[in-house]
Amino acid sequence: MASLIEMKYGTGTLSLNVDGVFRVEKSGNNAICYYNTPGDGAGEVWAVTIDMSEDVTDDDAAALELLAKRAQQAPGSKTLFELPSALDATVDSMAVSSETYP
Amino acid sequence: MANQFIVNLSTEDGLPMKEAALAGWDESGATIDADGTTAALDVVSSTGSGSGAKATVTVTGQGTGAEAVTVTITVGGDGYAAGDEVSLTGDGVVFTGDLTLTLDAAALVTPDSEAQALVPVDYALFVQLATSSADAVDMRQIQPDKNTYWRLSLNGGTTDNAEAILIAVNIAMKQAMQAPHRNPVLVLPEGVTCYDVELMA
Repeated sequence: MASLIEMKYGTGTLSLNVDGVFRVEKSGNNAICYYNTPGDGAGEVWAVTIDMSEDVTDDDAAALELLAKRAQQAPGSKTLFELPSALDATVDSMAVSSETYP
Repeated sequence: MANQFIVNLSTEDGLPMKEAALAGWDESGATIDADGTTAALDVVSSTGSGSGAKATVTVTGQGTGAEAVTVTITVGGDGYAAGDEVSLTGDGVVFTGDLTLTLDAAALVTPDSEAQALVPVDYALFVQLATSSADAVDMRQIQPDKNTYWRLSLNGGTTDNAEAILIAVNIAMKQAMQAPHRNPVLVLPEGVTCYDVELMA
């Protein structure tokens, strides 16, 4: 069963499947999750960039990485992720891209 | 065992118009005034309940005897059906009066012919709105060397119900991913129907 992370969105939540996520970093004002899945170029992997309503900090990204790793060890989980630096932040959008292995 | 959710497909609430050049307009109620292209004009339904479509009208060769009028649907809107009568009212520069058309199936987007579609979630990552007006919802997925998505094309999506639509699709995806051995059914907000499901690259 998939390991999901929930993020606040409007009156509900949106989910992100974090199976295969091995690293989360701050990228600009967003968080980027790297997946253990080959991307469309040599040495690249797929990644999901999460754009939140508030700027993501390094500590926020570290917290998301920790939560993803915990979720992976609890199949079927769906844990709510809140930015430690801005608890009321909501997810604006997510996007997939092929990124150089970090 | 595959995990998937079920989408009931329907055209009973109509379809968007196809966003393309559309032939067959009756020009008898219009006067062509000049070469040029109008701004986007509202496609007004005289019969039926379609709304929201927009079109531009381009005229070339006015007064030369080789006049050509091209109508291009730029926004598909929602709720149109074959047999509906629609019109475009001139801008007073390129043309005046009304262009009219009785819609046929070719004027509308092509729906899926099945009654239901299964959307597999084995590689699903997340869902997102394809447009802010919720004309479609995409479920993104990744596989080695492949970045694809399932697109659910919707009738009845608006900026007002976009959030509720996205949450509804997210719930169906989540239920399918976390409840193996059952196929949850997507429940869309009232007034919203799905007419096509397609795997996109």
